[in-house]
Amino acid sequence: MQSLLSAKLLRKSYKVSNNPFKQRYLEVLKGVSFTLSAGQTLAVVGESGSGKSTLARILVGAEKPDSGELLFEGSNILKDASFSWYRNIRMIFQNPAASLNPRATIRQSLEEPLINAKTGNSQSRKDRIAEVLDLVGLRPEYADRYPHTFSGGQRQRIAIARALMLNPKVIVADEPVSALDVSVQAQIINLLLDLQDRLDLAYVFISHDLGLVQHFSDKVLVMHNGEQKEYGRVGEVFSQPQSKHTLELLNASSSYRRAIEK
Amino acid sequence: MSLLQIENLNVDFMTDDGLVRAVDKVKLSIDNGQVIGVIGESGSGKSVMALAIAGLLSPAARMQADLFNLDGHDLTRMSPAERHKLITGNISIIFQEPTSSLNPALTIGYQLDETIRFHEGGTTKQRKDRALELLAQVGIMDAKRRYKEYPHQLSGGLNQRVMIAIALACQPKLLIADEPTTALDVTVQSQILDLLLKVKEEHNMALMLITHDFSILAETTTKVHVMYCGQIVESGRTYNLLSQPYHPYTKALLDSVPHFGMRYKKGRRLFNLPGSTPPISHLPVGCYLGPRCPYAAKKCVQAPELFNIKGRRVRCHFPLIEEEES
Amino acid sequence: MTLSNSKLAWQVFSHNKSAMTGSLILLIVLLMSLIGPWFAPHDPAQQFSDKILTPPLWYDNGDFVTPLGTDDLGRDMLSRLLHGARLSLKLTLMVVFAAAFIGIILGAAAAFLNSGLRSLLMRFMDLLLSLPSLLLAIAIVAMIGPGLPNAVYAVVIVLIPQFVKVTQSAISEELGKDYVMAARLDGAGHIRLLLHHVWPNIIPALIVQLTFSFSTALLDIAALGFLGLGAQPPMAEWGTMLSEARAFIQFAPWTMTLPGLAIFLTVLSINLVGDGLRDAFDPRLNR
Repeated sequence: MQSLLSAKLLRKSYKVSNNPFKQRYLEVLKGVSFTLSAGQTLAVVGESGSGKSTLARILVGAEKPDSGELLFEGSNILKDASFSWYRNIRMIFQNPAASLNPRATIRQSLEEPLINAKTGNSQSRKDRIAEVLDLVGLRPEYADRYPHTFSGGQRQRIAIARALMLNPKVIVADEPVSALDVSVQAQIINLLLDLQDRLDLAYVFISHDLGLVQHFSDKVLVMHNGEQKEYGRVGEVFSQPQSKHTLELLNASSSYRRAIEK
Repeated sequence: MSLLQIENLNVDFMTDDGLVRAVDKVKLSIDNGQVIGVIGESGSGKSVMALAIAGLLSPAARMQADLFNLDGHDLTRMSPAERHKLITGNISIIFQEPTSSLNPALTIGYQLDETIRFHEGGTTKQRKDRALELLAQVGIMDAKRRYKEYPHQLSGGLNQRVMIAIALACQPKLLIADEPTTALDVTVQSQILDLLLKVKEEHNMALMLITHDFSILAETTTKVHVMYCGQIVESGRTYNLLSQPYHPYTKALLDSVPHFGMRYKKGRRLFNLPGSTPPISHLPVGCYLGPRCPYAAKKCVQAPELFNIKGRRVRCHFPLIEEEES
Repeated sequence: MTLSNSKLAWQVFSHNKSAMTGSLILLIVLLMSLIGPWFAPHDPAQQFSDKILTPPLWYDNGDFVTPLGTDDLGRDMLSRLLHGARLSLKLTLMVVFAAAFIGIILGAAAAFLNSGLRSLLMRFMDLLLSLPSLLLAIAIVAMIGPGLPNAVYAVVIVLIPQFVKVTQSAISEELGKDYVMAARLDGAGHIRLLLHHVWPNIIPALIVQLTFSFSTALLDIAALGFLGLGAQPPMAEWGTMLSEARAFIQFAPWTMTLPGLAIFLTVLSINLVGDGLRDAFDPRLNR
């Protein structure tokens, strides 16, 4: 099966000193590779500072890596200036409140990708917004309200709707439920699973919650200090961890400990 | 004998929407050296309750209780000054964000020294030795260097250790930890949790762990109270409560999180409650969980009382007990 | 333009007593400057040679023809104050809007410039800001010569740096937020990002800056008039009136008190409104 999205040895470093005579660089990604097929979920786990957020920003086109390839449907999109990231690879942020413009109605936020893609007229855009709101379990009438009138879970639904507007193939979700209440997290996780079934979406799921990763993902990529420590199918990686960093993460998950004690 | 015993603790806030009850008839007790858990989501009143117990409520809050016994003293009959003295001498509290709980303009050492001076006194030399001893106790390796450093030079995990050291300097009989690990990395979380249990043993303190995460409580606490909208909806022994929740809300909290190590099938949908927690200024009539509860029936328009059943307290008209027998 | 929380801001503002008092005074002053000149009993330049330094009504020898008295040339104080209100407010508005226009464009440009050019521009603005605004205005007028038009230019220049700084820092702050990143990932270009997404979010900061600039501008224009560097006699301008009356403060205090009071009340009301607006917009309402 041909992979939908694959990364080959992505590297990225940031300049940390502005002194022209003493330039210092901090390597935040040291060669990350993976492949992902439609309908699959790849989880990226690691502690803060492990480079997983940088990886997410590269995958959605917000930043360019220093080297490496990113293949989407077989072509290297890092070299293709005509590639529209926003039609194909979208992002869901950790904090839905911050990712929605507080002074724009939901309709204005959802319309944005449609306007930039120059698709349809105002009526067809309106229909599409209603359709997608329905898809994420919100009432179409909500479109004319402002973000602060919604609860956290509803806002994350809106953020998901915005990602879906242009029928993307890949969604990068950066800790999509960690800012939400526990009883609401499950709603959003279920919604993401439903959408994956219906739309054959591929997810890159960035998380620190191994329970969630195990439940939600097919593959897992363990990162530590920008290095790819382990990559493989979730069942295999978690049952027979090869790297000590994976083991550390597993041990830290206290429910894991409880499970093996029983 | 109970270290802390509270009955019908209410905390009200005056807001633009009128008087709002953040903590509603909370009843709990802690024995010396016991570890209990309080679990709830944001807005459940768990943090307000912690502040009320630690005497740290803002002046806008009004607190009352039928019974508030701490270490054999009845706090309801005391003057505010006496109460303050008793509470600060016996209860310490640590919070979720260690870095913002510490003063960024003062060194770790100064902040620790201040607490020691207030509680133990002693000469400068004695106090410094005591501070270094405390830092070592909470697992800070190079205590001498850290003593001179500022909070921003330390990681979140180290700052939380410093907070614990400061709490220990008060020699409390009860340590309240309000989401002590939420802001930290997973691997650091378990270290801090282990540390809390270790110092609890060494100092023979009682520990109240407040969290939204059952996995933290599972192997640390003996008893758990579940809070929703300011009320305790279920309390009981941790093992029983986790393996067989009686209250629908407890069940939802447990089942909406996929627990690591559980047998699973990818793509299985999680059990969840529709909607979200109502704001405490606009609570539904009757059972507060009613509108979200899959088991709700006509009777649920009447507010359920907390009642005892099989060694547990549950606030529900239809506790999920039948399922156990079937 | 959409201000989702403009209603909320109004709620906060309308509960603020001092801000509402300020608005009321400001409204009266504005009304005076708009329709006042038509109600002015006399021409502001007309000299009643028989009524030189007539005191206002509440003095024993007050006079109904000139209810607020006359000045040393026998001109009616009330008429001069009303005409002065129009002149002062007109100048202030012109000055502030010109400065805001230039300052906002420069500030927006600075936010998108590369770091070298930006620091060059911003340090120059810091240089201008490091001098007291009045001193700088005096220096500029001294260079280009006294007179009302030059005083206006000077005050415009003095006000620009504030707007540049506020605009630049507000835009930079917004650019770092998730929603801007989200809009960028929606495919929005630079211009669209700025005008459509960032602009509505910096308006509150600009409105607050605008009100404070009003009071600075009003004071500076009056001060330049007082020092003889701005509006020249016989123009009915509050600062100039103050200056002309200086010699008579001992035996005709009203000639100085009344224009002084007019300046004081207007500046006070603007500042009260500005404070109220800042409070209304600032607590960025938890969301």
